[in-house]
Amino acid sequence: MQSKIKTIIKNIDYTLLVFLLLILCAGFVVLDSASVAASVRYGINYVLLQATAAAMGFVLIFCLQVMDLSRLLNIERTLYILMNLMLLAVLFFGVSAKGTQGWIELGPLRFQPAEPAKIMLIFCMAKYLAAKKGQLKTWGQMLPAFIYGGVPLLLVLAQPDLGTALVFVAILFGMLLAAGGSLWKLGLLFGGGLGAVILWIYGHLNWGWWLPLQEYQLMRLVVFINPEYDPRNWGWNVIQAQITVGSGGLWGQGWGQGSQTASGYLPEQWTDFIFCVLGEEFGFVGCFVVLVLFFALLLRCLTIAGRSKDLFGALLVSGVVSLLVFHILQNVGMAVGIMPITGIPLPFVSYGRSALLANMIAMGMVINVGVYKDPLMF
Amino acid sequence: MSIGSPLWEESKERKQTRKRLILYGALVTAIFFVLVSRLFWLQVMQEEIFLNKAISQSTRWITEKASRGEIMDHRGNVLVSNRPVYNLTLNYLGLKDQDITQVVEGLVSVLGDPDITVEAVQDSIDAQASRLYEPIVIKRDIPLETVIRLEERRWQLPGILIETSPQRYYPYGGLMGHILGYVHPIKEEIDQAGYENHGLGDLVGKTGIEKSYEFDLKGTNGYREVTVNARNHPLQEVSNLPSVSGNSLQLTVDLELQKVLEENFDSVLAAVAENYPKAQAGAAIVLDVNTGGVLASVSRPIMYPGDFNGNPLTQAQADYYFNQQPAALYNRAIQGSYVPGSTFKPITGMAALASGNITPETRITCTGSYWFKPYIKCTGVHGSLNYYQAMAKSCNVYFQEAARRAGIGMIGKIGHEFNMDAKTGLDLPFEGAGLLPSLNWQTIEFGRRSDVINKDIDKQLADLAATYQPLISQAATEQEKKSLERELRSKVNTLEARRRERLNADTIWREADTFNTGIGQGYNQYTIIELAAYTATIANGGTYYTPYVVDKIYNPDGSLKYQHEPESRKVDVEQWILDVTKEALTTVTRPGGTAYSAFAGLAPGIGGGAKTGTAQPGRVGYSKNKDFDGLFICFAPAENPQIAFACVMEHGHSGSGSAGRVAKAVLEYYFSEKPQEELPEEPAAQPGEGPGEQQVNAE
Repeated sequence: MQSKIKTIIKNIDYTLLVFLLLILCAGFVVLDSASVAASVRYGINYVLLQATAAAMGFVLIFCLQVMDLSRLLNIERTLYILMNLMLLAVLFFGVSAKGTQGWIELGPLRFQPAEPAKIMLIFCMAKYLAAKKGQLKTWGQMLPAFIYGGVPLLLVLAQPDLGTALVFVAILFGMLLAAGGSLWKLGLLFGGGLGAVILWIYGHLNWGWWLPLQEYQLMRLVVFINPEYDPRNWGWNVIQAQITVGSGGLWGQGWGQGSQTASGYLPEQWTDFIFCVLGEEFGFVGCFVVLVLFFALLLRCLTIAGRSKDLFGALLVSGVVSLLVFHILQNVGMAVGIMPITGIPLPFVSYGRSALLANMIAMGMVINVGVYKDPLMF
Repeated sequence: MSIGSPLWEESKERKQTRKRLILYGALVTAIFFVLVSRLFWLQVMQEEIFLNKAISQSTRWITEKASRGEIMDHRGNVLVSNRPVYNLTLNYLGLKDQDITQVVEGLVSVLGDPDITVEAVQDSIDAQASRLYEPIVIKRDIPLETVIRLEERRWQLPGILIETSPQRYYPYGGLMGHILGYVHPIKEEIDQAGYENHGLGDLVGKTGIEKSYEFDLKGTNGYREVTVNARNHPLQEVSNLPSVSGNSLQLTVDLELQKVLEENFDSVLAAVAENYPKAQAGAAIVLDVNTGGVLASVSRPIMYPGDFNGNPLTQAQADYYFNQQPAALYNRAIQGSYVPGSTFKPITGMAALASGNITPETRITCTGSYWFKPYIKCTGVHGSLNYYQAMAKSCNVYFQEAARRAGIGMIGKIGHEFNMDAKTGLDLPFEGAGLLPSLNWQTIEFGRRSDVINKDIDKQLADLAATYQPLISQAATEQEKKSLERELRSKVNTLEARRRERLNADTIWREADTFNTGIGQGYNQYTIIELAAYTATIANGGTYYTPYVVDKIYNPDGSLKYQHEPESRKVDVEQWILDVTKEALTTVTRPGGTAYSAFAGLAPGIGGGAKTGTAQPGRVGYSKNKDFDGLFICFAPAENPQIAFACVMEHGHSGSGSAGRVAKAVLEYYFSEKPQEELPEEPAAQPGEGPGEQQVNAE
């Protein structure tokens, strides 16, 4: 037993942990300056709360290493049903916050089921796709996988939480890619889907087609194309985000010196728009360093995936990479104006403890794949 | 179960999965490359643009309106000061058209003020269309509750600013309103020379001292550069250029004397109006005879500068000030021209003496009416009168004969010496000039009239020719042609006769005109300030002082910037004539004189000179031989006069019964035992100048 723990500790990927720790620390620094106004207003020390959650996350990461996730049998179905029930519960018992019914209250505990659902989906999909062993070449083979992932996706969409739904789509595509799905079929689906959505919105705007989007969701897409359409309301965030990032310049204005940040030109700058704060105060150099850390972390994850002892491990890691990449692309992309605005946080940096814990568990899963990379170890 | 089987290590699937993972790695790299490229473009290539945007959206220039200079009377009593008020302005910068509509609608609903409608605000915006970079003042002097209501919703109303600015305050209401003038938003002045430093929304002097001393009073606006947050709340001040308030003015006017003048003018006007309801207007001026300084001046109907002061007028106010008769805005003391009546007689008298055709002792017999056409009646049958007696009785016969002997040329010359044909040049805007029917005036006026008549007749002749020429040339028979030519000739002759008739009637000075002029009727028309200045000139022995209102100008730090030096010139009239006339005027104030009642209450030894006037203006609204303006000019004391006074009461019926009663109150106040504070630096009033001064006693 002791030797097992020793082996586990020895096998933990510390390079990955160092990258993770550096990103977390960078996050605390930025969060501190981004949350000054909100801290004063609400009397909450966001950095302390975030750090506490991170510490809890590390504990969870280590706890997660006691068992080989790929050897957990018969848990997939239970987990899949649990996930869907959770998402279903949100629809009935959910509490509204920020326009979606995303929250569930259990006594004093309040959390967003969407966050654990992301992890659960990755796990279930990895099990499901691993069982298929790369048999994902024909439409007939791919359809069940899409149905499998589509059920929770629709439940999320029903909340309505478009952002998380897009995360699910990213996870689905990312994992199908890694699992050996037909490239041109995936590309066709992705490209066709995107094209269809654009056509649909265009049709809605020009010919009044029915569109299942709230006004604010539609407006976010409209001002993404043309921020000057409504610069005071919907276009405001798009414009201000770019001004904030752009005014940082090469070296930034210095920690706590960002005038845009201090003046409150951006809403939710300690969560959704935290990258803008990074951009204004630490400039291109600061952004570059943080993005490089993310990049290194993700490459390290893919390396671990490559060394996995089985397809499930590789898929599990690919799912986590998909999750993180999409969050980063979406969050940074909206700060620099190449993605429409959605409420997607930057992993490990944005304030939000549900998301942080979920992401830490995801890291734990990646490390788990690394720890148990040798099939003959135990 | 193949999961975790050793076979995986070598399996085809593993190789394929690794390929896919490398592909995925490439995809991730591409995504990061895109993000970093975009960041590089935003932060390194475009930094300046975004930095400028960040700075400009967070920097505001706030104008700090300068306080206008204060206006004081000559003892330092503040007549016009300032108080801070809240103004509601719309800052157009940074707003788009669709926002403006939204903001204006929001503003209108928050204010709930019936005067402020979407259309009204839009009008203000349109009015400033060429200068939208300046804040648009929507409403001035909004109450504190409204300020609070607006502040609570400020974030919903981008561009709406509440600024405090100093606004004119008039502690004495309408006292001296016409002299002080009023301020109102700048309009056509903005393009005029001197107003380069004014901005739209600034209040500028429109009348009175406020206008003539605008550039002294205005001061220099200050600016504060502040950074603001997204909700326009100021964060910190970047730079501050304080405003400099305007220079303050010290007038020659005495507040207490002014009060006495206005109160008594009002009470006399009210008393006169009981008998003559048309009596509603008039004016009076008190001058310092030794400087030309205006000691007090009133014009009625009253003007309250506070009614303007940047606020839009109600229809009733606009009617009161501009449209009705008599319109209140008009300063009748300097803008109105009045037929002087008998107050002109001293000029006639001096002209007659100067002509040498009359001496003070020359006697003329009044039999109740003049013996030349149009046999103008006198006020009584005065019998044989010398100059002094004629003045005391205001005998129309005497002064018609005096005018005849002097000739209109000499009357014009003397009148010109007393500046009766020009503006006095006092430091107030819109001053009118009198009409002195001198030979010079006749040449110009009759020339102008001849032109009009000749043009009219010539045109009719041309028309006639144009009508007849074709008829004549087309005449069928010689007979018909002759008949037409005869007809034309007869019509031409008629027109030529009419030309002669009209030229004769309108462009020739007649003896009767001279007689009318001699008694202050006919063409004569003068402003009250002209009458006062000429009275003062007789009183001080022949020095014409240009009247003025502003005595001193102080810089904002209290140092003296300007001290008025009286401008004067000696009139070209022989000293003995002036002295004799001054003496003649004193007889008017003695028992039996027409102005006796005005001076009866004064302490013995003070005395003075005066002349009453009852004029038939023949203007619109006056019935002939029924409606008269009452006029009064006087100076006092008799020895070393200090003040000169001129007054008109429209429809006052008689000079002594209306304007004379105002004079009485002013004189009694001025020469009453009152606590004579300070007045230290003023040198003692100078006696009449020149060594040629001599005492001429009345017979």
